[in-house]
Amino acid sequence: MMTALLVGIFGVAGALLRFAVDSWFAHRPGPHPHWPWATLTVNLAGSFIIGLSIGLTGRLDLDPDWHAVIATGLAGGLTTFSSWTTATVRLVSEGRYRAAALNVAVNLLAGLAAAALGLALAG
Amino acid sequence: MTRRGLPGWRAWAAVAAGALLGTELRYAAGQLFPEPAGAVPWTTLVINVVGSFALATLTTIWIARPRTAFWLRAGLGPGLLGSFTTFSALVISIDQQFRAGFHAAWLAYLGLSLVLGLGAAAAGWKTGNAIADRRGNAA
Repeated sequence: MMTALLVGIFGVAGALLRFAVDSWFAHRPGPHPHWPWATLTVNLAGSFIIGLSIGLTGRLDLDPDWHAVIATGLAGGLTTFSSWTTATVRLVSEGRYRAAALNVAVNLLAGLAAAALGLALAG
Repeated sequence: MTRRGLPGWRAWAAVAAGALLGTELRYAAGQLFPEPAGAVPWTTLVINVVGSFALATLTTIWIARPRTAFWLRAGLGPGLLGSFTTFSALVISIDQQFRAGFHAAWLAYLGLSLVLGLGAAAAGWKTGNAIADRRGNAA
């Protein structure tokens, strides 16, 4: 019960952070064509956090409930799959096929690298 | 939107409320349908596919109806669906399954996430456009 509450609170914190990043990128001035930088940023940050959490939980023998709070709550709330897929379809609908393919590949490859980095840093 | 283009307090409150619901739904689904280490994580896959369909549907409806209240869009989009779906769980599952040698599982999970996730978003995109067209004609 306590874990469920903490997962929720950390999920809200992650989502508010994601919304702040979204808003920052949305109002950044510049001639850049729209590309989902905000989603890439939060997905990389969350992948790094979940890797770090798995590593630290194993190394410091932490309560698995803490891993649930950080992984399912914070990292789960911070990252998003639906914006990633929806933004990709949007780019395709605009005929920007290269940007769409890049969005798919970069999130996946850099996300995997970020998770591996988190794991490695946790030792 | 308020001055300097920052979202107003209603939008932040709506995101928080949506995020609480979305996170708890995802957590509860994981408790009800746990994901064994060596198998395709079906619970997360279904969550991500359903969320992709819903967000793409809503996004196209909102493009057609730009006067929809911003706090409502923020609460349902980034709040509820952004928190319900997860990218970090997908990435870490692939990482862990790769390291443990469950190559069939991570390949299937990656492929299904891409095909079904993008397919659901594309289907949602069409559905939302169809709904927006019908409403536009009716109005």
